Amino acid sequence: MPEQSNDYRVVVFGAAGVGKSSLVLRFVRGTFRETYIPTIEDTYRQVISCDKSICTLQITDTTGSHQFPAMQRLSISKGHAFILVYSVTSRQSMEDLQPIFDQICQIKGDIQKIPIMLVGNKSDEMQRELDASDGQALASKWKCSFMETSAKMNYNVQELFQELLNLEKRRMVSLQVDGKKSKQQKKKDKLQGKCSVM
Amino acid sequence: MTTDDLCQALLRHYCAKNHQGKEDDSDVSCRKRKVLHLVSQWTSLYKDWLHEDEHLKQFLKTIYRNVLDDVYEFPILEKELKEFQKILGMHRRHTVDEYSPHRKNKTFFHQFSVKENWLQHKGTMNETEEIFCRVYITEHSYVSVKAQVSTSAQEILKIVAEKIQYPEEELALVTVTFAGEKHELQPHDLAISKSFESSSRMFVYRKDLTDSLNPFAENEELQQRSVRILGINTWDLALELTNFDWSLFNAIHEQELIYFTFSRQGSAENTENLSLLLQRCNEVQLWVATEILLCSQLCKRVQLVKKFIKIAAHCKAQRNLNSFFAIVMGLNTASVSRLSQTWEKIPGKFKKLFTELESLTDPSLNHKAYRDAFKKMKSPKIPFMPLLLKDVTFIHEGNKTFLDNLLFFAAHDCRYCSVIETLQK
Repeated sequence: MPEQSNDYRVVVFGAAGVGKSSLVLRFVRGTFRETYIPTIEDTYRQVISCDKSICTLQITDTTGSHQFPAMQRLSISKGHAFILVYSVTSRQSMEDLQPIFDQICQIKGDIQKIPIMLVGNKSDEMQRELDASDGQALASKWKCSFMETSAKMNYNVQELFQELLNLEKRRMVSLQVDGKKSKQQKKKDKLQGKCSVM
Repeated sequence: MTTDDLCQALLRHYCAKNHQGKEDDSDVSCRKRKVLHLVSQWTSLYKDWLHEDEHLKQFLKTIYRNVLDDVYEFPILEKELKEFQKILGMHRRHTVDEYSPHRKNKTFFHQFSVKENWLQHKGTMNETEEIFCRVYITEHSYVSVKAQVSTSAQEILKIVAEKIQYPEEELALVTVTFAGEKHELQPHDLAISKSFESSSRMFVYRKDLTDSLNPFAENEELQQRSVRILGINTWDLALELTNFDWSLFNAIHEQELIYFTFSRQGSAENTENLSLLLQRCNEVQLWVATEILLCSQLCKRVQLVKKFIKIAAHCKAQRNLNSFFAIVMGLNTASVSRLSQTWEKIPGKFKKLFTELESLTDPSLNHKAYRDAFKKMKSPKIPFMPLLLKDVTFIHEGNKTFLDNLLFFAAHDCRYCSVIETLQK
């Protein structure tokens, strides 16, 4: 069947081996895979409830190795929100995100309107090369949100997707006419932190 | 005759000098024309393949050059030349004058080579070529698999099973056309070509014990639910149920019964405990039905039903008729009793046990079977509350309170007493 056009498309980017597939699998299937299988491109559809409404998330897990730039460009142009993943055990993986971010800026134009989440995965590992402050600094530079997660320990995985949806709601709210702002503000406060995953 | 030989022969024939000397010009031109005609027919038929065969290309170039040369001698060949040019896709402007034989025209060869690059490589896919294919897990979720065209369904299943962390034995690769026809692929089938054949998508389905293919659903309820129940000891579960019910039952005061029936609205202040017990009865019933219906795998469902039958038997043994009734009713709800496949698979002795238990809940003769059994049981025992309530209600409703201003207490009294007695026991 063709893809539903009212899906909310989330695309996960990052260097190879940072844990993109693990994050997605943990969120969608609740499992963790120890073995490393390089992804080509997988898409999962998940229904998620947010306050009183439900929305369908279409999560695209992309390849880390830069084998398929055309696929990457296609995913960026189709995506609504982006998750940029790096591993706290590798400084290189954080630096690898810069070209991806640039490409998103280039293709999407106005970054302020797009929810982007910077994620530092593998936060359970002892041997860190990067601190949370490094991630936060980069996030401030890019003006996006930041979170540290661990797919292995199932830490912050649900929160990651909830926050992404919150960002989207906030964005939709701020686009409303000024006159209705007071009502929207109230709604916004209510919406925050009330998402639950079915 | 191979293509090469044919080319050679034609070329020879074309270029043959009339050694014999007997052939005059018209014959020569005739011959050449025939050759050209044949070549043009041939090229028009096999246009697409021409560009793959090196020798053929060479041959065509050679003959073209020859024709160009000969046109000076035999203007008759002009017509054939034009046709030839047309077939070879030569532009009209490359007229004879430009293509003087002395100019080893690079452009001429260039034309040919440009066309070669431009045309797509036609041919069947090599067996060892690697392509990407999408294997769908649910209607809209897929994983991409890099595989050779000759990969068997078994191998693809293995890759997918590893990716989604599901045991391979429980999966089957199925091609589903857009019309919804499903066709399971055998382990050694060439999965990719089969899916192209029927212009369908490849799906991974769950194989059940009954070999019926179940699709994954989005947001699949992980099987942990039923596994938890299946893991619990039936006696313990029955014990827990009984304990809970007993604590609720103990808290009920006899008068609550009366209060409950007398006030139409079921006043909450005085009848809290009773309502709790009644609610509990409903809950157990619905819980049994929900657990069974949530179980998506046939084999697990069968085990679950067997387990519940055992629990009901234990409840009866523990003299907790409230839960016993609730479980049996739960198993008898329309939605559960509809599951014919599940009920079929239940072994005979369980079915017998269940019919026995059911007979106890038989409502005929005002639940005679139940009442007898209940009387025989020694206390402590927990009765089936709704039935008790029904009795009180009927006592209340069934007898007019006022008849000629006399209150019919006597009959009421007797019955109330009996009910309360049973409660007190």
